Amino acid sequence: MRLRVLDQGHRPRQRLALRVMRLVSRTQVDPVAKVTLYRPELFGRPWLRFVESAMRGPSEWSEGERELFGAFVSRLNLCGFCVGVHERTSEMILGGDAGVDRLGQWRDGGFPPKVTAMFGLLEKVTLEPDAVRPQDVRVVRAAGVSDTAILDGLYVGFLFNTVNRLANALDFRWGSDADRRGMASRLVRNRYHVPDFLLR
Amino acid sequence: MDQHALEVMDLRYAVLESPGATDPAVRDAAHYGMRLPELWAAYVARVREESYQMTDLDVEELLAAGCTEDAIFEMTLAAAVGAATQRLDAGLRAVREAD
Repeated sequence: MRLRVLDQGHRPRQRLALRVMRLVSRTQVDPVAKVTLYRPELFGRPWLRFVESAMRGPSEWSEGERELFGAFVSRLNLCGFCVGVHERTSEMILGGDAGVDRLGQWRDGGFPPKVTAMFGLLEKVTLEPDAVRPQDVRVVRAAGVSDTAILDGLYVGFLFNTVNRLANALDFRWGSDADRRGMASRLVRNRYHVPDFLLR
Repeated sequence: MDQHALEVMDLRYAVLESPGATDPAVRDAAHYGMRLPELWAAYVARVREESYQMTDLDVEELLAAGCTEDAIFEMTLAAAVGAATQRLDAGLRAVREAD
């Protein structure tokens, strides 16, 4: 981590939690966990509440589709850390049809029309926010996506536009491919849930 | 207001208003892309628009100028959440206006 406080500055409760995570996983601790457990009242507590809701709460998008949106936005933001983890989570949930190898050619990538349409809006919002127009939304609606689903997709975009910047700025990295796969497995298994008592 | 909107509002409040090493007014400026003291301007711009190019040097320069790591953490959060909010708001506005 680029800031030592994120490796070593945690309060006793969170320090113990990180130690337990390290022992149980037998890999390096996820940098996202280090950030969310450091001064959790500042960021981690509200962040995790939002993330669990956006990625695993009720939505017309499946959990796998939301992971795919995450991998897609992470590619746009050139966040290698997040791409590596969320392409893996997409594959774990969607199986062989995930199509993560086709995200770079998403317009012809053979994704379902609704997913392709949402990709288009997420790309515009992420790379050219000042150029987003109502017509960009009408295109997504025309593909059959409801406004509720469009909003859900935009909030997943917000999530990854935030965490990609943190990962890049604070130098998140995994130690090995086994670590990357381990991080993805834990996200899928734990469904982004962190017990409240760890965040006090 | 829908659930995600409330959650994001809570997040932004925590990042911008929690007691910390930086003045909330400076965090606000980083969040909303407003004018910043010279000390922070380049770093915040990098987080917002070029985070993929950041290196250890970006942080080392701030530390050499006397910033604490907590201050850097707070400003990084404010800038990242601010850039993401700008993008979210662009999409939400387009949805509202698309009727």
